[in-house]
Amino acid sequence: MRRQLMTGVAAAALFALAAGTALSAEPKQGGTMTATFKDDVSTLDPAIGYDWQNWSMIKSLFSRLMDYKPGTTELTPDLAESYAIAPDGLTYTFKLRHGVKFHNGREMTADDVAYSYNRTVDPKTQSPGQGFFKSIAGYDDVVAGKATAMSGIKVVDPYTIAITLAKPDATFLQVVALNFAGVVAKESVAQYGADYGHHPDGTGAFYLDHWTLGQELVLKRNPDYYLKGQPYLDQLSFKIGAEPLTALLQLQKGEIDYAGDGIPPAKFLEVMNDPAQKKLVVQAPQLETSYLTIKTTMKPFDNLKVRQAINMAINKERIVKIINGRADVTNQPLPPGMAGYDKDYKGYSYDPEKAKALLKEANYDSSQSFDLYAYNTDPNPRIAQAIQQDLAAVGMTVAIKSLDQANVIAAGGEPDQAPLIWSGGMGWIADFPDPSDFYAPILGCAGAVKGGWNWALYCNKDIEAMAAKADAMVAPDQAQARADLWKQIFGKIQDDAPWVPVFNEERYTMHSARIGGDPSLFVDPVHVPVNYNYIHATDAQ
Amino acid sequence: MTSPLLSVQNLTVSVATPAGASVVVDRLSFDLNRGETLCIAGESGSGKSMTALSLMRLLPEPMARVSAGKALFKDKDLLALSEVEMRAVRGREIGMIFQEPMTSLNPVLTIGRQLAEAVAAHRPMASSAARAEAKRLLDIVQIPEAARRLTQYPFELSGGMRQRVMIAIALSQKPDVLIADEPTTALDVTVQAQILSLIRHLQAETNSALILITHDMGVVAEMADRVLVMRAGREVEQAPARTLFATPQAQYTRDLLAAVPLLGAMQGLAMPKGAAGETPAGNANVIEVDDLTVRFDLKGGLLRRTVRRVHAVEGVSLSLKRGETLSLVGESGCGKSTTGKAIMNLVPWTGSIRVAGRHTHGLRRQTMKPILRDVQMVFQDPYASLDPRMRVCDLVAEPLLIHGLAKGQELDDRVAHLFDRVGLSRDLLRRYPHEFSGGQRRRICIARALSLSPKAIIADESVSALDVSIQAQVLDLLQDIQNDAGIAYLFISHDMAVVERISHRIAVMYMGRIVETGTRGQVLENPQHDYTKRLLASVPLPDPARARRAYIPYAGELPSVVRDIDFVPMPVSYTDIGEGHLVAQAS
Amino acid sequence: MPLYIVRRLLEALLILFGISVVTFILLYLLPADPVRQIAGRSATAATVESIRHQLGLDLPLPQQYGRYLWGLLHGDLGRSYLQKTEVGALIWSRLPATLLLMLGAIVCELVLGLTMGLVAALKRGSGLDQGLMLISFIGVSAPQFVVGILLLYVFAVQLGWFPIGGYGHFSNLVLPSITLGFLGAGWYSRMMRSSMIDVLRQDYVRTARSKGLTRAKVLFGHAVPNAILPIVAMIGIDIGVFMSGIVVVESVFGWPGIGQLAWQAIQRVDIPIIMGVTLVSALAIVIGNLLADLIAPLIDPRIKLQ
Repeated sequence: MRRQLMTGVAAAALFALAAGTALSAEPKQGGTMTATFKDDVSTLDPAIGYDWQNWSMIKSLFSRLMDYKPGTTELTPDLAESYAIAPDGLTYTFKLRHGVKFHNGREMTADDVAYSYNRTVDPKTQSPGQGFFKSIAGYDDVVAGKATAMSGIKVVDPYTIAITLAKPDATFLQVVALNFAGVVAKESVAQYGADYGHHPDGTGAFYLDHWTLGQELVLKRNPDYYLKGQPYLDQLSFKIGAEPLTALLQLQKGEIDYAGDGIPPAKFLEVMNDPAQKKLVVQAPQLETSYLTIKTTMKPFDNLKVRQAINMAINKERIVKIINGRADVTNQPLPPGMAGYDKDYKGYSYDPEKAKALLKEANYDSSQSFDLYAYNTDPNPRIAQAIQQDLAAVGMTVAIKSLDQANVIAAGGEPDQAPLIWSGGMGWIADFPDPSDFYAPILGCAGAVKGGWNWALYCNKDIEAMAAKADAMVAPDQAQARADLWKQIFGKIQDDAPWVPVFNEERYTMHSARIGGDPSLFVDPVHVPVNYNYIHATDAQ
Repeated sequence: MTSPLLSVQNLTVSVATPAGASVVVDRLSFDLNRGETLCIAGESGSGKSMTALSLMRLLPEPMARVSAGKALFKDKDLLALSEVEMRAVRGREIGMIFQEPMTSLNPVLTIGRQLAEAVAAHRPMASSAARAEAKRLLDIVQIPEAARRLTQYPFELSGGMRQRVMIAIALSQKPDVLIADEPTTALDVTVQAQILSLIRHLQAETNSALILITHDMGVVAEMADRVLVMRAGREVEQAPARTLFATPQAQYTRDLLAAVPLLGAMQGLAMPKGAAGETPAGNANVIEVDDLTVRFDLKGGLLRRTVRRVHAVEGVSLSLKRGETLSLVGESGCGKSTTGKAIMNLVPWTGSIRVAGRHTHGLRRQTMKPILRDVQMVFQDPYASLDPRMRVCDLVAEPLLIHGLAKGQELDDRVAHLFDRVGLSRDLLRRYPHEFSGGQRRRICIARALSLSPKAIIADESVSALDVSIQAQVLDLLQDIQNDAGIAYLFISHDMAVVERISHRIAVMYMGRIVETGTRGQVLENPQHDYTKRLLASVPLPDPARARRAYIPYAGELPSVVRDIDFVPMPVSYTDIGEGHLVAQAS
Repeated sequence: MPLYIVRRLLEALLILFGISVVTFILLYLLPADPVRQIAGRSATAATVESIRHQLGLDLPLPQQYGRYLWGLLHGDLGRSYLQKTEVGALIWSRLPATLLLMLGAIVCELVLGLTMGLVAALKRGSGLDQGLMLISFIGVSAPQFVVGILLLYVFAVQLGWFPIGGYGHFSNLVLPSITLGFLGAGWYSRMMRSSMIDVLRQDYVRTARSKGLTRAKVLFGHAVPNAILPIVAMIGIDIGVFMSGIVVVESVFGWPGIGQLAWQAIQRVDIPIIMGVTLVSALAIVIGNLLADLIAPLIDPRIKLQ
């Protein structure tokens, strides 16, 4: 599949065309892909699943009203044939495809969409995606247990659903493309109850054939999938449990096709220096930023000069070298490729002398020592050490606390702990490709509470107002103006220096030669980690 | 006369030591005829066991090895055979009985398996046939309930029983030569008598030749046709038994025989050998024990309740006067050592014990301290009771320090004086226990016990397992100390001859009770209780002229003192048959 | 004997109860908050509290424990916070793999350890002895991760004798078993060597030789049964040792056992799984020790069960 063919054309139309004309370049259906993940697949319930390994599986098992063009961040209708936004920006009306069937054979209707959204928001479901639906009218009543269904969702007819928001939300189309908005079959949920996550029943390109807990999942091609000719692969096998190093050996030996946990750091140079192996590696920037948070409410970090000094003290180039150059140095929270990224932004440059001067101005007391928290998996402790050395060079003493992820997160949410946190390994990967996702939870006032994810406890009322304004710019023709506003917002945040943005990770995916497809599919920014629906087996007959 | 069955010529055995090879058997030659019993006698380190092992080619190689000599046996030289050829000789042509019945049987295999394996070692046979043969052998060595024994493990059998099994194994292949290395040393004297008579009986039946290795001249006299006396690896003297005992040629043999305490040698004498002064009969009591009872509970079951009880000591009464030696004699498990420990308050007990007039019941470690100035104990195993990491001078000084009786120069002087007193050179003061010989270690223990100048010493088997010459020296030392300081001894021993030599009075213990007590003369010369008589009759006498005891049928062994918890011991009453000679009456 | 087993099982129940209390308290004291792991980063404080309430994590500790214990008494280990699956089912699905791996490891460590120790004892002081003891030293000191990767690299990647990880066939079991058993083999070979040297000096071995038995009969009929006694006592303890190794070995070889389950649960503060795995491991250790104690009298008749 060639990328330029896809851009600017409605995906559904393209596939209808492609299937009909059977281009010689068109891949054949058939074949199997075997992949490995080290960690268990916890669940395949779209309302619950929020892991690296199940994210794209759920995307292939379930469908949503909206999706993205393969390999891109461009929205496109999926279960919806079309949609319309009311002029006030509050009501979205989706027209559904006809004849879409659940894996159990029943036809999907608008009732299922409504049921699925209400289920995700229902507190009993304990969905980690609940909060994404907060702009729908009636959300608060359901969360508080006062209602079982959101008043803003109205089933007009079996193929039409209208959703009314309580306030304008420019990201709403992204929300209905999220996994948490995946459409489930009500009767299957009723049948399996809490075990639904192991008996997923959706309308996706694949269905779950069998799942041996802790060992293997096998997904098979859904013969009734509504996009004709898709997917290509007959079967996806996921083997669970192998160490990344073992998985790489298996991949090199041809026993598997794709190592889900990537290339282990220890083997990275060896692979990249071997032309034969390098050929099978796909590289792309990730919608991710790794950063150092500075708790803006703790003394002496409440002093802007101290925070600026830290921004100038850290040698980011050296940190990127530590991880074999698998990232690009950055100077702002938003990653490149995200609307609102400012490629002309200069930021704070590496300048230890100036940092020292700023500290002096701030009367920084060098005899104090502060804790620098970091996740305890390689290479994060090494990066923390580099930061420690850089800070020492300007006269700041920090002690590294290298802990489990859960403990770092716990400390991050405490107002009196973790003055500095290196986010690596827990860095912010976009839930959906929109700048607002990089603001509210991690830099906005909503997240700046005890137990929140805004570890810098940064809360600026002016910026909060600007963000609200940006979120209200829903009309498609406002997209550029909205991006510019976000650019401004993140520029202002950087002036306050609550973070030191350090780098954007690159993703490297290695797959066997048996599996083909556009390289962008293997580093899909949304169908993370790999878009299973569009890759194919080169040996399919 | 035909040529000998076995002819050993110039046998030389060397042992590798850190200082180089050392010769432990030096050019030893002897002959052995069919049906003959040759005793190889000697003290520890004389090389007698090495001689036996080298004939079986079972020396602990490569540390020890035969360096020269021949052992001609049925036209072959045993010392030149290959390992495979030698395997055909072992068991089949030469059988061996080892010293330690406790360790010489494999603990995890049944008696039946170990015996059947020997039976079938050189002749292939069905396992049922081997088993039948094993049972027959157990019958021959007079083990009761042979069929059941076959399924038992060694630990379920008593020492005497195990030695019978060893004999059965050694005889299983009807060897021409039987080598017995100290076969009865680890056994009680009544059991020893049974085993020796059994060996003699079986030897007569099979007409095999016997090499008996022993340190006990009593056993030699009991068993030997001919005697080979060894010392430091060399032959001292070789002669027919009667000749050797009657007219020993070598000075060493004469000394050895002189050192052997001979039961009955002191008939008619009132005082112990070498005792000075008056009979202590009129002296004050140092220790008075009344109705002492010691019982141990055995726990078991779900709730760890007491299920059985060991009646170790039952109603023992005794008194010890100043300057007196009272011997407690009896076989293993009779309660004699437990009685000593009870006096030291080392085990829980009931009854009444007074030391120098003070009651000791209920005293704790701390409150017992003043009592311990009056009574001290010398334990059975001198090596185990000396801390290997302390210098001996510190070990001897320890009680003085604990009681705060001396320090500084005075302490050093007193320790040096104690060393003089027990006949150890002052040069040895700063050495460690492992640098001393067994006899020297006993002396160190005695010096330590003496350090507090106690009124009484409890000597628990203080001279057992010592060579007779050393034993005599230690006994003399004890007597000397008593003569000088008037110390009273409670002398605990299983050896009747030693007891005769050192005691004023004797108490015979059996199953936790005193069965007979009186002066030495009363008990030894006029024994009344059946058990005393049996005990005395069992002691081998170093007199080959004495008529050898007839074959003793299996007479059982000591009954167990472990009883059910509802067991109530029968009261015992004593009859005074004159002048304080008390004999227990079964009521 | 049945009485003994009953008593031991009652003891085991007490031990398990104690372990459950201690683990529960320790997990409670952890700073990490399981609810935040469930709620995800978009959750509001109200949502977090609502989930906390649903899970009963807002109750006082004794009450939380009471609920857990009540479930436990009904055979209910609870449901995983993140997977929503029954912990019992999760553990049950992975337990056979772990038990199989342990069994393989025990066989490996016994076969390897006893053989190496026996040969080393018989060839004491030789180059072979030194070589074997070097291997055993590597066994006790090399990290299992390194051993596993090395075995994988040599026998699976280079020689291709075994598959690279996976589960299902006997060939999958070989390398993980060796990796897990290698540590024990190192210890056992040392124990076996010294035990064997000691036993060969024993009087009863001399007795056996004096019967004219062949060397093989003396060795395997008399010496070995005694020499392995101290080792058998260790096998029960091994299960506890394995528990720590199993996390590493299972992940190197992609072995679907409870080690991986536990590791992931710890990472994500999935308390019901951590509790469940802890209790099942403790039970396995208790049963392992009980089995070792029950086997001991079969090979050493001197041991009486009290």
